[in-house]
Amino acid sequence: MNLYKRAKAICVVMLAVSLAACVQNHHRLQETLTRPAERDARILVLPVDAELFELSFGGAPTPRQDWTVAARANMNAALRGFFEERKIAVAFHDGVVDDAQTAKLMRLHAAVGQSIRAHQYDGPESLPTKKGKFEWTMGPAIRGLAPADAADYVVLVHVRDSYSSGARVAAQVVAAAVFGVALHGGMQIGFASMVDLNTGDVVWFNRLLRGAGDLRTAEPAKETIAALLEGMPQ
Amino acid sequence: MTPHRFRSFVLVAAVALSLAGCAFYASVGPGAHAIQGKLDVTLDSTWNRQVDGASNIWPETWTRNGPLLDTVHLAPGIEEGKALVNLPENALREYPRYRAGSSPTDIVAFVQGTLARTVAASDFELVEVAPAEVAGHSGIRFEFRFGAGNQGSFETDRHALGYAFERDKQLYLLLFHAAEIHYFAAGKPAFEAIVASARLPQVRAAAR
Amino acid sequence: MTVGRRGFLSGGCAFCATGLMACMPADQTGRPLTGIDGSIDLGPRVAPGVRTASSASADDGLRAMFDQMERRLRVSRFLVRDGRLNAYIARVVKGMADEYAGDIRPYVIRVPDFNASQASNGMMNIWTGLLLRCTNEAQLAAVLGHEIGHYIRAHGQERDGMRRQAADIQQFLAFIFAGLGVAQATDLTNLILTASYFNYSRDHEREADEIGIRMLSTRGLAPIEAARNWENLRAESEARGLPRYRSIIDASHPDPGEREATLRARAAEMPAGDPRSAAYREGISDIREMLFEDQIRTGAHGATVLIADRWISVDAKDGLALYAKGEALRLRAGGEDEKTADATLEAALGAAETPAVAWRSLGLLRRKMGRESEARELLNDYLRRAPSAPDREIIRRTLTS
Repeated sequence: MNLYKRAKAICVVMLAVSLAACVQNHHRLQETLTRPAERDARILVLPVDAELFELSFGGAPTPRQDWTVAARANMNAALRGFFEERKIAVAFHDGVVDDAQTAKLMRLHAAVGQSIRAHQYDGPESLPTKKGKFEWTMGPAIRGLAPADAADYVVLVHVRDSYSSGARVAAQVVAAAVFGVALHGGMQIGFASMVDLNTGDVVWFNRLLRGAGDLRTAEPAKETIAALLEGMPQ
Repeated sequence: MTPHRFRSFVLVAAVALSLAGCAFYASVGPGAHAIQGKLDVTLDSTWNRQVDGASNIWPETWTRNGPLLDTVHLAPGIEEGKALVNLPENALREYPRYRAGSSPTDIVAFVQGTLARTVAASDFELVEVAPAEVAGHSGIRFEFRFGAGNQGSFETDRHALGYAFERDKQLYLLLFHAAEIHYFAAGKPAFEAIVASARLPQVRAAAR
Repeated sequence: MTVGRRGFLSGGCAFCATGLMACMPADQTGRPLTGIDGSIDLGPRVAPGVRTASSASADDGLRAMFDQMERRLRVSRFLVRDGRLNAYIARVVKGMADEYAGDIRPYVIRVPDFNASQASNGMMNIWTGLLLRCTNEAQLAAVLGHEIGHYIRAHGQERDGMRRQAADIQQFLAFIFAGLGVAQATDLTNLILTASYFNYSRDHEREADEIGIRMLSTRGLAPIEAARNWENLRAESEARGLPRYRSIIDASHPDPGEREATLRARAAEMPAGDPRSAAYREGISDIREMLFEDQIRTGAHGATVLIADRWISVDAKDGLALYAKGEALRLRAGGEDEKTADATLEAALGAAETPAVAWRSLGLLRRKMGRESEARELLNDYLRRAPSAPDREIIRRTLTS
């Protein structure tokens, strides 16, 4: 994990943020979940992948373990609340991957997610054949991530969140007031996906790029989860 | 002081516009496509052809779902002493070079050695090397599994299928590699169709 | 898109480029001797048994990030899971780390380049290319001791602090220059900050070298082998034609020549010790064939020949090393290469631990030389020795044509 590169990436993404507000961030194949006749839909949530950073005076991101721990707990609680409200049974993956086949499926899941981010959205790497449609799949083998009676869908949530330290805020104020220059502050970057475990199709994908939101406390975390899960089939 | 969020939006229009101006991929097919005037293929569907970007170093790179999931490389007429990819000489220092008259074993090693550099491939497991006819020439068909990427990038489990033949001391290579799960099987028929359509250009043959 | 490229020898290891993991790659830059020697106190700055805590500290934040990387590493397909090898590596680490044995967690990763690195959470990465380049336990232990030195001296945390400080100073200077109305002073600022950052990190490397060689000496291992690692790397850089000098500003590590000379001088002050060659070869025996195959596959034939020669000088009947040398020469095929390859492969066929592919290698070479009947016999030998070889069909075909 390269913090320098991460800082640079954050700057670049920062530039894209204001644009993100006016483009479509979520894509989906269907509006409603396919529910078995006899029961509610069941969703398996992969371990929330969140890391929180504090920006120093100079804007260098420093990982904050206390915030990350709090954010993961807040997000899990918010996810549970979100799904329960919608009468969707939710289970949380414990994050233990101890066999080679599951590890392979997790790697494929990550590669497909990365490919959607790189190639589905407008940008230098967008693919002409993906324009105007949303067709991504993991293939039926992804069923192996959970037993058939345990889950119908798998949901992944990934967030990288940064916050200005007091010193950084001061730097931003000085830069803006004295020099009329905007320095980048905290950022919330994330994506979420839902895969139909029976077909392997990615049925919904959403990305989040913004300078707002707070995962460190329970109430604002709910808002972030709602923003991340925007447009999710229900 | 308690750290708190400070919202700041930076001027982005210029950067966004410049980003919008560059595209790494253009569409190709369906229909006939000439590869550097050295090989003709016919596509029965539309692919994305890489036209820019730092990794655009193969003579021809196509993908359907992005390079992490599936990739086709076409490299016709690789001459003695040349690498499979186009890079400045100092960057090519550790890339393997083609030797005319290479055995099938050595052609596979040549391809693997190149992938080791381009996609951090390792952990090669050869599945098969067998005789095959390609573009009317007697050549080889080979298959191997491998892992690509390493920490800091996306690690993927991959499966490669390649066809190659030598003509006039030059190597002609058609290579497909994709995520081992789903994407290899899903993309293989389309790749096999490209291979089946491969022909040496008539003009060149007539001129000889 | 390039999925990812590993750091080459000259570029330094992938991890040290992050500035977060202190490590020991080959580097090419010049730098005079320093005050870090046998008299300096290099006591630990980290207590044994430290674990990641949920706190606001930057150190815990860093550890937590490495914990996350370590979780991913545990399921990586590049992790070498061979039981005997891992037991051996664990034994060597335990022997070096003493009271830190429970804190250092070594992982052998399948990358055919010379590198090892140590993260501040205790995760230690050892690339397989390092294992192939060492021919005895003392050489491996010198590198591992160096990495453990980074851990107990908290070098990773210091470098992370430096990174933050550099960004802060840069911001501060940007304000000053802007206030003075001076435009574009960032290049100069960067240059100064980068130079001081690397100066810092070079001292970390020197400290870690000293800690490593002290560990060798107190454990009865041959300290001179620490210097030999650098001698070997220098030779390899030359064989690979890698650039000899880079910018001083660019150098996070001291000049290998300096490190070699320093370690050689220190070794002369210590008892000779045991290189433990046999124990090492036994410890890595399960994966030695894989190590050579991966090295051959890199296409750096000059380096392969050099590394194989190193093994052959330890044991002239090392069939694996003889095969690797012969195969690399056959593939390089320049000047006298094929002639030497022929003799080397011939020797391999009569040695121990020779893989079946050696018969194929010599068969292909003899065929190219026009010695068809010998070629056929050798390729038949190969098929007899490896009846289920994945290339049997194509070899059979060439035998019938």
